[in-house]
Formats: sequence, C-alpha cells, structure tokens
Amino acid sequence: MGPDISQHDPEVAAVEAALTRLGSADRARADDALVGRVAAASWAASRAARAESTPIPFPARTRRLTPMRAAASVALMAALGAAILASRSVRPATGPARPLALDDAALIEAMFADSQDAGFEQAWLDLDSAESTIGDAFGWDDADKESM
Amino acid sequence: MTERQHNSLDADALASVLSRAAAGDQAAWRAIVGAYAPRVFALARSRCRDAEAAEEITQSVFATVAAKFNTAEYREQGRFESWLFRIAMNRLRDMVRRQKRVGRLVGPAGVPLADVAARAEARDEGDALAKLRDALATLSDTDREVIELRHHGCLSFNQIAELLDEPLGTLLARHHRALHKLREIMEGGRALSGKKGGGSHGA
Repeated sequence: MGPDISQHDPEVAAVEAALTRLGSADRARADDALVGRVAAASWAASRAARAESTPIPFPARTRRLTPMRAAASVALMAALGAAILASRSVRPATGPARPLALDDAALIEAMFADSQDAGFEQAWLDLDSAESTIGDAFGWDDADKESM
Repeated sequence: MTERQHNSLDADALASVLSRAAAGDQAAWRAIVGAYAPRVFALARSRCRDAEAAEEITQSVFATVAAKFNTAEYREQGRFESWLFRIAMNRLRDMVRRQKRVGRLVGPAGVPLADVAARAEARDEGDALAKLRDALATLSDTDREVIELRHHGCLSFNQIAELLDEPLGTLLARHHRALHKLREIMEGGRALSGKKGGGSHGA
C-alpha cells in the first residue's frame, strides 16, 4: 500500500499500523486449505451454472413439450387437415360434390363466403370432435375445450 | 508489504490465468483464488466477525466471479480487482442488511455470538488487536467500508474511490477522520465497554 496523508499524522500513525497488523492477521487466516475449498466450490458451482445455461439440443427440447403445447400442436395439425379436406370436398349447398378449383380466390370464396357449405361444416364438426377427444385425453373441462 | 497474501497477480499474469481458466484449466482458477481469496476473506471476516460466515461469503463471491468472468458481464481491462471487490462489497452489504433485519444472535451476556467467537479468537492476537476490532465495530458502515477495503482488502485509495464512487480527496479525508475516530474510541476505552455507538459516529 502506498503512502497517504494519514502517515504524516503522528496521532493516527499508530492506529493505522495496528490496522495493517489486523488486516494481515485476517488474511493469514485464509490458509491453503481454505483457499482450496473456495477454489473447488466456486469452480464446481460455475460448471454447474454453465451446464444449466447450455441450450438444449433439439431432440431433447421436444421432450419438454407440455401436454397443453402437445395438444395445441395436434389441434393445429387437425385444423390444417380439416381445411385441406374441406378444400377437396367443398360442395354447393345444393347440388352434387365438386372438386375445388386450385385457384386461391376460389378456395377462399368456397370456404368462407359460403359458410352453409355442407363439406366445410362437416370438416369443422370433425375438428370439434377431434378437439373434444384430445381434451378428454388430457382431462380438460368444457371451458378448456372452448378456449382451444 | 511482503506477506504472500498480498501478492496480487500482475496484469500479464492475471490475463494469462484468466484466459486459461476460461478455457477450463482448473489449476489456473486455483491460482486466481489463491491470489485474491485471502483479501476477500479478510474483508468478510472483519465485517461479520465470524470465520465460517466469512468463508461462505468468500465462496459465494468467487462462485459469482467464476460464472461471469468469461462472459459479456466482464471484459478483462485491468480492472479485475475492482470488479471482484465490487461483488464482495455487494455481498457484504446484503449480509449486513439481512443481519439488521433479522437481528443478531445474542448470547446470555447480551453480547452478539459472532462477537463472542471473534473475542475468543482474538485472545491469541493480543489485547490491542481485540480492542481495535471492537472499535471498528462502532464505526458507521461507510467509514468501516473505507477502513476495511484499505487495510483488509489492500486496495489502493484510487481503487476504493472508484469502487465507492467518491472523489479521491473526499475518500482520503474520510479515511483520515475514521482513523481519528478509532483512536478516540480506543483511548477513551469505549471499545471495552461493549456499547455500540455506530449512530453517533456517522460520516
């Protein structure tokens, strides 16, 4: 430690010298065994912290899906499947089934403009049924099913 | 000072061991802890007057350092000591706040147990140092921090000023006043009376 104004003040020089001895005595209590314990414990703690913060590889991450997330994924896939089914079997309210033109505008018109379409309705009924089945499997009540 | 506990690593050596430790070299980490743990431990021990608690705090400080020294939270720029002691001071302040909130464990004679343990240890040190410990405990927290960072942590006044975010001149004056207070307390015998007059010695 370098010199400071206190060392020019004889009134406090003795106190400062005693403090230096006190600090030295406390540092001396940190013997090799203590240093070894501190080093080992802090090293192990940092390793554990890093292991926890390491990103989980994709296959492992999929195992962390919650039942709600899994169900939502299944429901989404069911909805997509139903929409595809509806697009392939949309028929007018009256008249025979007809294949849907692969034209986007026509598809949208068929699915949403004509909500009375029997094929479209049936697809949604199938989806509702699928959600209900999923909900029963996870023990959802009606409110949970509605929220899906 | 010639004692081994005060042998800090120079800038090049420190950068080297930090780099090796970051790469997973446990021996390098041991060298860092060996160089700095005695100073952190002494700071903690003086403040809490309990060797076990001081070791726990030291472990906690170095666990934090080990987890962060090679992350974005720390970039080696020759300020390792300041960063280390900032963590240590924060940990000690937390401990002091907790002690004030929950109260201190007090023995049958009304003396805090930590002080009883410290006095038992102090018998080996001689009366003068034991009185000095008692006198230190009567200083305000802010005065005590300056004294302990200087004499237990072995920090330079520049480092302490940076750590406590105070102008160097103000800090030197505060240190000087704290020494006078200690001298008055010791000469007045107040350190032996067991009375705590921290509030009347505020900075």
